[in-house]
Amino acid sequence: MHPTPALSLIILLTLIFAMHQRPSAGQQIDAIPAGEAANEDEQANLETTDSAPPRDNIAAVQKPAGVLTLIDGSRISGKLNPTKIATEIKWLGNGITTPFRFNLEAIESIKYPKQTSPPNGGSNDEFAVEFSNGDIIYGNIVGWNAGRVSIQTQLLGAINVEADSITQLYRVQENETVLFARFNGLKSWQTTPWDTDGWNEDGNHLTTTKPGATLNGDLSVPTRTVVELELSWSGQADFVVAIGADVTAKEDTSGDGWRLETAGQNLVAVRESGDSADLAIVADLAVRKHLQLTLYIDRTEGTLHVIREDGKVLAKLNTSSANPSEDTSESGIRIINRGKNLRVERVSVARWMGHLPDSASDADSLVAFDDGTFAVGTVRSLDSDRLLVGDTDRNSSFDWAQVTAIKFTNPTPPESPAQCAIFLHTGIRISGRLTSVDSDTCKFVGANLAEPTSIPRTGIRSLIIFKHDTTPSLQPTGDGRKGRLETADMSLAGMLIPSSINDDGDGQQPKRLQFRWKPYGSEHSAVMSEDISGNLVYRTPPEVNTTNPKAQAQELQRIRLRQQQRGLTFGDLFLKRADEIKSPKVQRDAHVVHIRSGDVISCRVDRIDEEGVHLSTANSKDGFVSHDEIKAIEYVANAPPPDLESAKRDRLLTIPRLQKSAPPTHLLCSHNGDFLRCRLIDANAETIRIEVQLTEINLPRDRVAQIIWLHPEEITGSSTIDNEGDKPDQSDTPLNYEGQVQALLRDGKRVTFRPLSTTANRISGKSHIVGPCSFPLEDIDKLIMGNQIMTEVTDIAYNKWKLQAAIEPLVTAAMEAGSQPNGGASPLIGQAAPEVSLTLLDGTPFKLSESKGKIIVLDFWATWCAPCMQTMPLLEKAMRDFNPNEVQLISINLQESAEQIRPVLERNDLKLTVALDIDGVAASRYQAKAIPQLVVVGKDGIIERLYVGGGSSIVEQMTNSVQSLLTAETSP
Amino acid sequence: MIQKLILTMIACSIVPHSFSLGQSLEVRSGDPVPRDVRDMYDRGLSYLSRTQDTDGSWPSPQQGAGIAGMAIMCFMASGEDPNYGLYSGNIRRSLRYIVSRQDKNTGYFGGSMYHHGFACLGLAEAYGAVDDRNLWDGIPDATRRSIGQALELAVRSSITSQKTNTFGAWRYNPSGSDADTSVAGAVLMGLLAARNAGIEVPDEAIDRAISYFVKMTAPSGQVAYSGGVGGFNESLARISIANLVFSIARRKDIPQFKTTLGYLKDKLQGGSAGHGGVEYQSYYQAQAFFQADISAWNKWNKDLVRRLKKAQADDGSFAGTHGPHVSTNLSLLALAVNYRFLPIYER
Repeated sequence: MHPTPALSLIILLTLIFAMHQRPSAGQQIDAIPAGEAANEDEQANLETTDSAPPRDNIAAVQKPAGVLTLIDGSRISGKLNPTKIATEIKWLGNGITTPFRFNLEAIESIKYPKQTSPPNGGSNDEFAVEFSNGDIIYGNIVGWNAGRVSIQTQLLGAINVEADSITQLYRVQENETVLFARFNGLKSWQTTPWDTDGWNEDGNHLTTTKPGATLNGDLSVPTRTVVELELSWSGQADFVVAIGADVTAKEDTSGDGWRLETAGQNLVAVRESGDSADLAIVADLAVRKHLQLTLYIDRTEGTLHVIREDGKVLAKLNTSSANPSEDTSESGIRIINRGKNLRVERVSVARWMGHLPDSASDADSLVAFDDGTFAVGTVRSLDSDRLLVGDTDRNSSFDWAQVTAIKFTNPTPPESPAQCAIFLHTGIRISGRLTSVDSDTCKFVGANLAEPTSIPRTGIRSLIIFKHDTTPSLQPTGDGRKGRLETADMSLAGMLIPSSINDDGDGQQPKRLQFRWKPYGSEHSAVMSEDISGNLVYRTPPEVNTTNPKAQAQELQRIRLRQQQRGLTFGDLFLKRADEIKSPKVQRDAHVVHIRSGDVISCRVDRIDEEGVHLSTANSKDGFVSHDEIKAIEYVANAPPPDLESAKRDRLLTIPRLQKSAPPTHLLCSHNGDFLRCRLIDANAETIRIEVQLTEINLPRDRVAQIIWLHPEEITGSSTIDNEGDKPDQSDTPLNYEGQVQALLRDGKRVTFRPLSTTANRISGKSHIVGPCSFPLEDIDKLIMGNQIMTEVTDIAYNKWKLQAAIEPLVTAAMEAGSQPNGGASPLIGQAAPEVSLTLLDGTPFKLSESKGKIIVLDFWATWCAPCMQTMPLLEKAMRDFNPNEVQLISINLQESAEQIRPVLERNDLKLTVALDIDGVAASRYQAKAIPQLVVVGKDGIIERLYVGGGSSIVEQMTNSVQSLLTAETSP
Repeated sequence: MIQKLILTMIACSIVPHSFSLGQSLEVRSGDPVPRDVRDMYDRGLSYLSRTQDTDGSWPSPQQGAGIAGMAIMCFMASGEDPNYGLYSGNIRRSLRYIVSRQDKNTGYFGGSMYHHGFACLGLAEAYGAVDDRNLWDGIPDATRRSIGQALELAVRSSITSQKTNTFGAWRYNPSGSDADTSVAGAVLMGLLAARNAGIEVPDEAIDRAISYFVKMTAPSGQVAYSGGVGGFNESLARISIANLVFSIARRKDIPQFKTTLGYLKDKLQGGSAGHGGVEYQSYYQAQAFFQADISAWNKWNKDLVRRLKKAQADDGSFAGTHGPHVSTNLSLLALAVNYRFLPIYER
């Protein structure tokens, strides 16, 4: 036994032990051990799984759906399919009808979504066992003999591992010595006045790329402490770590805490205390990108030791003589990134007993017990709950139940990199070789396992492949053009494989072409489902420049032409002005039709009828576009779409509130830039027949430059409440493009058609507008498939020409806000009543300030306000119950003339004292934004109550409040 | 069933009509009713016919005599013979339901004065057109009041209610002291139809009600709901009601007829229905335009047909604020002006 080194090493063990507590059943999988368990890339991969769409929650439990990522960056959501071939993964992608067969070496990873609770429990596993290759297994140690350790795991059953590959094992339980070890994400670092702006959680690492980003947390740093720190970065290291810092400090100062700071390429330890300071260089970071240090700080003694993982002391500070009365209660740690980036991989804080580790120990292993004692030596066996530990002199036997941890100092390093590693939801990581996949399990040969094992597929969180084939042999071969297939479920580089269907032409239920796609890494192509929606991208199309100087000049010209004219209907006006400027000399039959899908068709528009637009193209004389599909006709080819400044366009396209039930369906544009909202009835080569306000008008067609269709279902902002049923007609069904594709050509044109065949270099099909069509793949930037077509057309011409519903007034909201019970909600309550100085209907003046000593009820009203008119007889009646010398009602009319008011009062037989608020000043002073509004002013001139709204209940409330004011006054 | 249908058809062809229709063939034949309107109307009638309960009512949230009154008008307006035609059974069931709902002492049909008004209107349209001699045959314990008797009793009920009303009009409750232009329109139309059918209705009652509508009409042409001039919001339904009662009471001379018509013509499309819903608006708008300005009606009707074509459900019904039965009745009656068979649609 060697007590001294063991006493110090036990602290290390405690830290190790605490840092690798296994996530409990309810805990997020974030707590997967990172530093030892997996390299950084693996970990990053693991955590990005969170962004994978959990497409099917039920399937996630039974047959999990995950995301497969290839080494070229392609990814595809789907499910693992059984295979007996060790070198392939069979993957049935979502939206694909047959599985892809990917070469294992082309795969980067397969990842499944997080599960809130591990499917196979594992909460009873007592120990975590870590291996030199980064693997970690949780289970109960049931035997140890002849260099093999038997572990009973919940998920994998009984497994045997080689003992000399183990680096450490420890009981998974809490320990009071450890104050902070486990990352709790950014939550541990949220302290006022600091925030964690710029930091991100990446698994159980915290990362930032923001210079100045700071972590400032109260981590309960004790007076004597051991802090383990693991940081990494790229580029030049530049950061500050302050231990024992004041967490409430508003800014970081050089005197705050025991500090590790970068200075040039060096890392220095600094302590400033009172009048003195101490500084020591810790390490040269010129070529290092990773740092793992343990800091031993005794704040009563004023000492710091910085020790490397192998036990070497890198730096010492001593400020013991500086200021013995130093406050040692600051318990924070602050980490500031000053460089390009910083990754905080581990921060742990434990109590320190005051002994430094002795690096001189050469024992194979160190065993820690639950009573704080320890043993060093070589573990010989575990049998019948007795652990046998030997050294050069003798063997000692210990009760296994009292062993808390064993650390091995010289584990055998891994022989060679493993083919892959499997991460389980329970936190287990096993690396090795995949041999086959069946319906429920993956057969796996673990690098540290003595026998092959079956891993339940439901328990797998991710599979990371390490060995990759980066030679071009995995590229799909052939003459076809390579592209990328992008849908909601995949982004897959590859190429189209020829396929075709017969165009039976019966028009009833046309067959749909199912594309075949052969991705990178797959030796076979797979058939896509016929309702696929997505893009096939061959070349990223250049962005369209939307600013058009020519259009702007035209707009200026239009503004100059605009004149105010009266006495004509809109239709007449449009026609009259259209006559002023004759249509430009254009080729008579060169028209352009814009389809809502973005297709632009050069054609001759023959006629428009109830069904749609009939047109002729070079290929077809009986082209047809339905009203549902069309967006615009340009009777002048190559002229730019009409352009209005956005405020004007908004005005033009806004449907007034009371016209929502009858929105216009078309917008006509004349050659001189006038617009007419209307309903198009029909058109031929000579005449366009429209309806404006239900009146039919015939327009010569040559006066019209463009017709824009305003589809009712495109009306925006129409979800505003309209409780009277005046909703625009929304019965039109959205367009369905299932089974169709849209070719976005290099010249920016779009053609939508039903595909009939693909070859290596060409796609052919039939458009119901222009007939048969065929395009070389090399002319296509993008092939948009299915209903994705409608989501791709936001930037096309005419798309911004959509009606919008006028905003509903907020009368209802105002009334609701005003109808606060008891009339006590207004901010005016309790304030001196603003002066009211008005003329009464009979011509006499009225001043509120002269009415002190009376309770005054002010009723703000108008003859056009039905609720006011309904409330006034009730008010008049209620007032009869009061002594007019004590309570007086003044009805303040809002901005109406005496001539308007008198007949109304007479007709309704109302005898009221009406004051005329001609300019609305009184209403403004009393914030009467909604009427009726009743204000009760006490005898002292203070506002007691304010009610917004009418009706008997408000009048009753007002009466009661007046009554209680009178009662309060007479009470002793 | 088939046999019965055939018999009905034979009867139609050989038995001369013993009851005149409300309007002569010469007057009603203008432009033929377009095929699409007829199809739409027939599908709506079929819906009403299928969904009527055996007691003559419809399972509506607003179940009552008024809905049966509207339905009688719908069936009769199609031009089918009310005694032998396709819907004669529906009409008779509706009539029996209305009469059986009537209080034998007060003449009130129950529910509300809305129901009373529409039931009265339905009875008035059936009075003289439906042979009610055998209306109650085979019905045990029946109230054996004839259409004429029930209508006369109902008219007395409306007049009694009006007499106790300070505004000279009507509110939901027959004994209510205040009034509104919507209920008042329903009851007044019932009275006017009864008067047209030959039931004695005192001029004083009509005049008081008309003067109520005059008072409730603002100079702008807007018609208030209750309690004063103007209105808190635009309601094309109320404006149409006022305009229609001025027409049917033959009071096109009063200035409010012109102002309300002007307002309606300015809002041939769009506008706010008020709280009754767009079907209620259309029901009154159709009649108001038809009575006041046939060219405005022609334009408006075209838009109505377009709207209703889109709105009709596969089962022939129309959805709306008051449930499918009320909305289907109101929508069909708005369309029914195209047929011009109903006496109340006479110009």
